[in-house]
Amino acid sequence: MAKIIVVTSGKGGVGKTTSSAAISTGLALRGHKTVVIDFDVGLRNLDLIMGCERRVVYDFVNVINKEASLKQALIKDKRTDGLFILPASQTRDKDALTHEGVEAVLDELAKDFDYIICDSPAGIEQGAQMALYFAEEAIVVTNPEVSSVRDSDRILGILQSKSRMAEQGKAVKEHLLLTRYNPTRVASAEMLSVADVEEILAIPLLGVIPESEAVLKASNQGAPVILDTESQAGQAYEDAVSRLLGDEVEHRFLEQTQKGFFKRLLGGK
Amino acid sequence: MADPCFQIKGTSVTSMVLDLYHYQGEEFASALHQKVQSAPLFFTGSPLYINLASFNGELSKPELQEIIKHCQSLGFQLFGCKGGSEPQAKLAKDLGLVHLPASRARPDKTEPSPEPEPAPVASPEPEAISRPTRIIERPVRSGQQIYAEGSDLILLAQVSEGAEVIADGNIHAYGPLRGRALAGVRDNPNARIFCQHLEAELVSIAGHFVLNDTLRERCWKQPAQVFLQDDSIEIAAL
Ligand SMILES: Nc1ncnc2c1ncn2[C@@H]1O[C@H](COP(=O)(O)OP(=O)(O)OP(=O)(O)O)[C@@H](O)[C@H]1O
Ligand SMILES: [Mg+2]
Repeated sequence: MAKIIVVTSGKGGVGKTTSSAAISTGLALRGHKTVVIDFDVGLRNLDLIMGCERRVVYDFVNVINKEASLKQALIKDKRTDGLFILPASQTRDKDALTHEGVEAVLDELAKDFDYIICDSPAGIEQGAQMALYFAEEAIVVTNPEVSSVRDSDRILGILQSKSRMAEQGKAVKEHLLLTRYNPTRVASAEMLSVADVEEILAIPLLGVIPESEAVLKASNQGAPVILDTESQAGQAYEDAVSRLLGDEVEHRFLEQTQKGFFKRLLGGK
Repeated sequence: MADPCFQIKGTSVTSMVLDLYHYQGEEFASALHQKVQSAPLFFTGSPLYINLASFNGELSKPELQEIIKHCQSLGFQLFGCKGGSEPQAKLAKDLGLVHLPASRARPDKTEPSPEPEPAPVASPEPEAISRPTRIIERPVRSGQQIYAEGSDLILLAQVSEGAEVIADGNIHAYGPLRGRALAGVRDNPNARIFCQHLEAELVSIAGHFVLNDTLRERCWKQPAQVFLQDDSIEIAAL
């Protein structure tokens, strides 16, 4: 049986799609058959980040409306074995997803896959609620600033009250993924620290992804940043995947790097 | 015999009651607004009736229309009027409100009474019912509201900023209390709030409240209790 994990945040633009792409790639790299679904109907972003936009023929909504089979709509990732993408449609309206339709697709996917990653749209309304409804676990993507933390808190409330698990009297397993973390700006108190965010949200920390140019580069190339094993962001996502799989890994990249003396001495930037 | 298509039973509905003492448009509107601001989630959408038992003077049709408008625009579901004079009862009915007869004969009041209006209960003798304490083990998150009706409320995890916890009895918070906490909301001045970590946006006892800026000066982020003394909120270290 597949494990269904939603990547959600409330606030927009915090790194849900970047994280969905990286984490699903990471899971597949470790040998877990994984599918990542774009729930952001109308925007369609995941396929760009995954670099498969030109191969989209059918989408999630087509499958729900029975205009295409799941097999036709699933895109096999070119770079990573055991990874599939179910793209969102760009044109349809937001009401295209129904509980029954989504459930049927998830049930069918659950037969074949180990992990189903749901990339949620922003907000706390219908679209986001649809993406999280069937989830057993949630990765709550948060930026270290007050409005993002507040939205994450709200989405946690929704997870524990409006999901299927909640309706069954169970709890959705929560993970905090702090992204776009900039230790320099934390040090100058422009941003909240890891400890601040942990204190407010009080859920287990899955990972801290530093703010990194590698992310932009990766999305321009259509290759999830986790494949950039040289980059800090890529490594931080690696660690997060390990923790998701139950390993205990120490958190990295939380401190300001010693800009300066040695690097300057060695001519680095 | 055919299946009955309905059944009528007696029931009691929980609603809020607004005891109106006198009416001045502006004052009423701003006081009501302030009240709702103190706990938006609690008040919004609540069924409400207006109790005229302690109302002084006359109420004109435009005035009642204004009251209805104010209540509705703040999100109350105003459904009726209770008590009042014959003409007031007629006015209420003319404006589409339900008119409820006044409670059992009570002495005519000439000034606003602090005595609580009993909640509308079906039994003629309102008796003190104590319900089991409500215990919440998970965090109460922003946008969520917990109401312990007729009982105490125990919160084992945190209450986030933007959340509301409300009880007819006392509130006990063992995690950080960062949201709004309202105890004794059905006019119980003896209710208290006990917390391990006071960081609330607002605390209220029986309708009296203080905000975050006042709280910051007293026991902020410390264990504390909140209670009412001579109609004013007191905060003391635990
Ligand atoms: N760690 C990071 N460092 C630098 N930039 C980042 C990082 N994570 C995400 N970004 C950038 O932030 C922007 C938003 O990222 P992304 O699309 O993943 O967010 P999202 O939460 O899915 O947005 P939406 O709510 O619109 O779906 C992108 O431009 C992305 O490149
Ligand atoms: Mg996105």
